[in-house]
Amino acid sequence: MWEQIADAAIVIIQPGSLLLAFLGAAMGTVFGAMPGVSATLSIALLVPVTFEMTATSGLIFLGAVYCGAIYGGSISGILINVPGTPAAVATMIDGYEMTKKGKGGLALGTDICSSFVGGQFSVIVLLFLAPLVAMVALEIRSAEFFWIVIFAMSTIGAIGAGSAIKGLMAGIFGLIIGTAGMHPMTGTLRYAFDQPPLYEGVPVIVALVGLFSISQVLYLAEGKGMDTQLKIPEVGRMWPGRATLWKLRGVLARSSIIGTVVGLIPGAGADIASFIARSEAKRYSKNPSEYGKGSIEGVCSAEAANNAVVGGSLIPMLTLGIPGNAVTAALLGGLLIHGLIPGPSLFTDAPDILYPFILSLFLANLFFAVFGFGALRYVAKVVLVPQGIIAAVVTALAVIGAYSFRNLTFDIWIMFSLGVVGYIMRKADFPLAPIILGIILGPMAEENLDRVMTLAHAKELTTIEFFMGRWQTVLLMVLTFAAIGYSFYRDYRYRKELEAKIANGEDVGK
Amino acid sequence: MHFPKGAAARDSVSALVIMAVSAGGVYSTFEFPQRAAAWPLYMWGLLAAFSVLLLFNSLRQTVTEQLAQVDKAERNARIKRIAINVGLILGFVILVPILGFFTAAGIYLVIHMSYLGIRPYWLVALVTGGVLIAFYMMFEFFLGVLVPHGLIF
Repeated sequence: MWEQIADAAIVIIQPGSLLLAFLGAAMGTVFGAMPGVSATLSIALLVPVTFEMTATSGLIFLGAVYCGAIYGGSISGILINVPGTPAAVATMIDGYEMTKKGKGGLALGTDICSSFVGGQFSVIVLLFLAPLVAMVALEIRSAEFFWIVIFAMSTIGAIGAGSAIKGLMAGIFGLIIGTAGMHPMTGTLRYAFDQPPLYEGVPVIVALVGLFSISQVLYLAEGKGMDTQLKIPEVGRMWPGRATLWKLRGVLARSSIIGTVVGLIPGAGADIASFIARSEAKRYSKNPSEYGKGSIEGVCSAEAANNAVVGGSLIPMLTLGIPGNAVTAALLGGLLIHGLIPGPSLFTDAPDILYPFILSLFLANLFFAVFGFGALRYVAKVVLVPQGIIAAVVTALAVIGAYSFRNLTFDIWIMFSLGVVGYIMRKADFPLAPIILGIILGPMAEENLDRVMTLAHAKELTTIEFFMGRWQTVLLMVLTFAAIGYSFYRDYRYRKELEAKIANGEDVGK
Repeated sequence: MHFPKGAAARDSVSALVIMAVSAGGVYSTFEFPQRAAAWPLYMWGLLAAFSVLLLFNSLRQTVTEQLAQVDKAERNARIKRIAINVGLILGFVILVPILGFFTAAGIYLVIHMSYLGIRPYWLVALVTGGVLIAFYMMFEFFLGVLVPHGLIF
């Protein structure tokens, strides 16, 4: 492994790689800073930029966009109280309070340092843990793999935000879209509607662009196109100082670990990690009453955790091919277009691409920090870009993204259709991330189930008997049913809390 | 008989629509050979089961009074606004293969930004021109990514 790391280091210090990492981090930061443009959308929109690049260059760029966008999301939250990404909501609570007190610069500086530390910590974990997980994953058989996929899908319902039942339904909807095209075992065409572009199924990148960009455009277009009332306040000095950072070392360490661990769990993204880390930081704080009133620890904990999710979330994606959240699903789409199939064999088949990608994330974290301290003062105005402009430009970029993947006009129609469906689902409070995960994981689940059925048939067993034959499979089945059971319990508890609030005359919103 | 309102009504409608679609989905699997039908059949079946659960939950919801206070006029205006936005994007999608990406995008950007209230108009023109030049330079000139071309450009 050390030899591969050394080879990768040589690749990433080439001027071209450094430039791509810097551009990716800077573009990710700027995109993430725009309210309404999430990290997922940033990657989905910038994937076409990599079509003509080599796989290594493309991944270095997309990885840097990921790191930059997660960090950049907090800028608008801190400055104008509008989070750029859902992951920045926890940061915004204290960050904006600090801005109101004239400490916006300190909040932004702490944000950069915490994101940097959290990001670098998680990449170290990724670098050393992923190959080990990949080695174990090579031993996984079809039956276990099938249940790992089902478990991943069920945890999305159990852990994801909002209604658990709707999360599970969205996941199943994605799994159904994933059945479109040719059945891998029999060659039967399903849901292709006599359209040759659908014979290979719905392309992940096209679905991603449609679901996340067009639905978001329609969402943005609901509001006012231009809000001239918003102004960026004077932020002052940004560097928090070594003494302040030293005081925050415990919060940084704890939040980085929480972020990385949460990132490993399918369904739990940066938004969940930042809230858990903030809550834990408050629990251990000497000044818990400061939280919500402009606590520097609040900003630090949320930011370290949400950037630490990056490395953690890449571990299941790279080693098992299972993206834990929508952002890694977008990144997985980037891998697929370069002919790389994520999974345990990726570490043995393409270490010359994988290790430079992982190492480049160190650079990406460094570059967004440099960009943040060096240029944020000048580019912060992007947070004021009117939503009307963002909506129209995102649509144009989405059309290029959908078309240029296969150079087919039909793909623009798929994108548009899925975008409208995605918008309707969002309005009905169905999450979109499980849909894209279902589209990716559906074919994997079906292929492994098919293999299991064939093996079971050969051994004259039923499929259930075959599953019960190995304790690992049984364990995964138990975990899956526990996750689904917990989802129902969570929905029940949520409803009861809502009823109690209504009974007490509290405002629960619409 | 208890009729759900607000968010609960939305869930009920969603559940009924999904139930109908799932029924159609289950039926569609009968066309496939048994091996190819198994997985989609399970998925449609599960979706149908969850939609029944969603309907059951929405009918049981007793918290509808406060949640139901939505201004009808505001809602209709929003629906109209969204329909126009969808129409504008649809028009863009239709025009792309006919006129080519850059021409269609130019027309679309001007109309959509104007509709969304971007003012003054020179800003609309500036953004449109800037975006088209940036896209051309980035995708066609530097990266060699194919964009749709048509009658004009």
